[in-house]
Amino acid sequence: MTQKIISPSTSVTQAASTASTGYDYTIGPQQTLPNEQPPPVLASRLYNESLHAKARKAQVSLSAFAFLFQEMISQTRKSSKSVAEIESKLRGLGYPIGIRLLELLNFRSSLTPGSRAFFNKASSMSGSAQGSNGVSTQQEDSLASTITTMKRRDLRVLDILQFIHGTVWQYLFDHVSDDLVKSSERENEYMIIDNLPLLTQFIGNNNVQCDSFVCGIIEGILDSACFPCSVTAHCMPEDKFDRRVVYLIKFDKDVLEREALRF
Amino acid sequence: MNSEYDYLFKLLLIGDSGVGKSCLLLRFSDDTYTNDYISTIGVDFKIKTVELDGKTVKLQIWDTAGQERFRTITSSYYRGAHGIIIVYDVTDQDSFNDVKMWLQEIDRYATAGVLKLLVGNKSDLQDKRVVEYDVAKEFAESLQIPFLETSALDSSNVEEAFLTMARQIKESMAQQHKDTGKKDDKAGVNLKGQSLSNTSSGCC
Amino acid sequence: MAIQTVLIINKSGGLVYQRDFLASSTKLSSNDYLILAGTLQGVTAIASQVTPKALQISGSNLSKAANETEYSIPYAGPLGVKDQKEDMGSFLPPDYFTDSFASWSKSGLKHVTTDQFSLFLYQSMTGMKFVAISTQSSTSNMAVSFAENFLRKAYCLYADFVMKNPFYEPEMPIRCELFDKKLTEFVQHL
Repeated sequence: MTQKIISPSTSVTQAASTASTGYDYTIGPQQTLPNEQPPPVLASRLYNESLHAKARKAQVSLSAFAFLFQEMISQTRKSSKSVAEIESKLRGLGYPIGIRLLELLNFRSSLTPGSRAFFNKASSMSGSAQGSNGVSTQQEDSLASTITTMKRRDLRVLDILQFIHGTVWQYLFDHVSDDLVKSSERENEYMIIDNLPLLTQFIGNNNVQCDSFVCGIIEGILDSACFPCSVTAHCMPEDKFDRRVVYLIKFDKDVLEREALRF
Repeated sequence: MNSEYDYLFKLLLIGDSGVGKSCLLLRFSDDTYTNDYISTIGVDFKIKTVELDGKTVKLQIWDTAGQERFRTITSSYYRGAHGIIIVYDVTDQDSFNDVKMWLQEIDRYATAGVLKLLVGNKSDLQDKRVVEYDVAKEFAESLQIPFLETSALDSSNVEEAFLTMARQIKESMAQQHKDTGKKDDKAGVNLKGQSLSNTSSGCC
Repeated sequence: MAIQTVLIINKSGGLVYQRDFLASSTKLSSNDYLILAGTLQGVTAIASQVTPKALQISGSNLSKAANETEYSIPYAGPLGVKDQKEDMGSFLPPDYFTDSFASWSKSGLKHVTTDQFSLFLYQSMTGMKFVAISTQSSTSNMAVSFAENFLRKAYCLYADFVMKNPFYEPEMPIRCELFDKKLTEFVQHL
């Protein structure tokens, strides 16, 4: 099992050592400044780099991302006939990200301080260790051995929502979401509130709700965690925050039934 | 304050002097604006506001009068033009011969794929006519440029040509606005609730 | 010096943005503004033409280092930035930029002044023109560099809130709510 998790890393290393530019989603956000030394090539790059003390605070260029997001919407817009179609396509783009995020972030939270130390060690010996099969097998073993317990699946609605409100938001937008709210009217509705949505900060309020992309991410996470639901985004300006967005999560009724049975 | 128009198209009017470009434009555009000061620097503007598919479109027509003296800055006039109208005088063979030269100029300065239109002016002067309709028509067809003849007496043709051009430009714009007039989505949604983020220590 | 009007002219000489900031200012019709934009386009081209060739050449490659200082515009301090925590879009606080910068318009029109008002023109590398009309006649170099700082920041806002908006069609009139808002805030805090 552990072999399976780690083994792709060796092939990744070889590819990455030749082409070191571009965003590698396995590594996480990085910023390369013109006068900065290129980061050392690591022996094992899968999952590891954003655990790395140095890379954790680094950023992706906001402009570059804004242009990418802008182009995503333009493309979607060109190929759609109605607002509803655009929004559902954006949602569809976010959905697979959600599925992957659930896996990745759960895996990351299973790592212990021991595995962090392992990564630091791996990075320091990166140059010499690279390509030698014997060494990398050794490392795989040592990474696996650092993981003592895997994080357990979130089973309760509140737990998974806390996970999105905290961990996911922190990972995606570098801050915990501004509020997590339970609807006072309907049992199955919850709301996640973002005062300054990062993705749509240059776009503003439009006929098309561009935050549907984030809805897709949330839906992907919840669906693959077995909390089937539908998520919609609503602009609800308040006080200073004129771009405040509320993500409304409506769980299917069997989620609540299950919740009632179990707890 | 938003601008009053959704689109702004730049049309350019070229041709030998004296073929009646300005005259043609005066006929076409209702809200004309002539300013002597402006024509002294080589270009005059006519602006026509039209409605296309519910959108307000301003056609800004750059009338390059007094062209010869300002040939050096021509490129700045051609730049970014959406459509170019080449005018000649049906009573003046030279002006028709020069059309080729104007086309070369377009190739040199304007964006590739710019819409073109050939117009033979002063068609009411039948007795003085030297450029036959068929000759010009054939020439235009060989270059795949729409062609029409017009005169100060009959400008409906021109209006149509301008509108066709405007429509073509609009269609060639990258995006169609399909997403206007969306319903207000807040109507059926109740977003009242109780914050949970401070009572986060529910799990063990 | 109060900013009366800001215009943005696209690279083909079409007016894509016009906004008055003073209620009292005499209003031109939208067609007149279009004509003004087209005229400025022509005048700028002519201004480049009448710039002595020698200057243009030396400005472009010969004594580059010597000329750079000549054309560089000093940073005029934090204009229109009210507090450090302000949302700067994709720019890092405390200001959009804090260095002196080289003007891209070395031969074009920059400044027109009359007894009643001044018009400043800032040209981007791509040929976009940002125009500010102020209520005062100002002839000093200070005013010009101040205006260029101002317009360059307007250009920054344009880059953020117009170019990154997927609903904006390039070269067409700007209708971006956020850009309007940001520009107004910016002018009000001058």
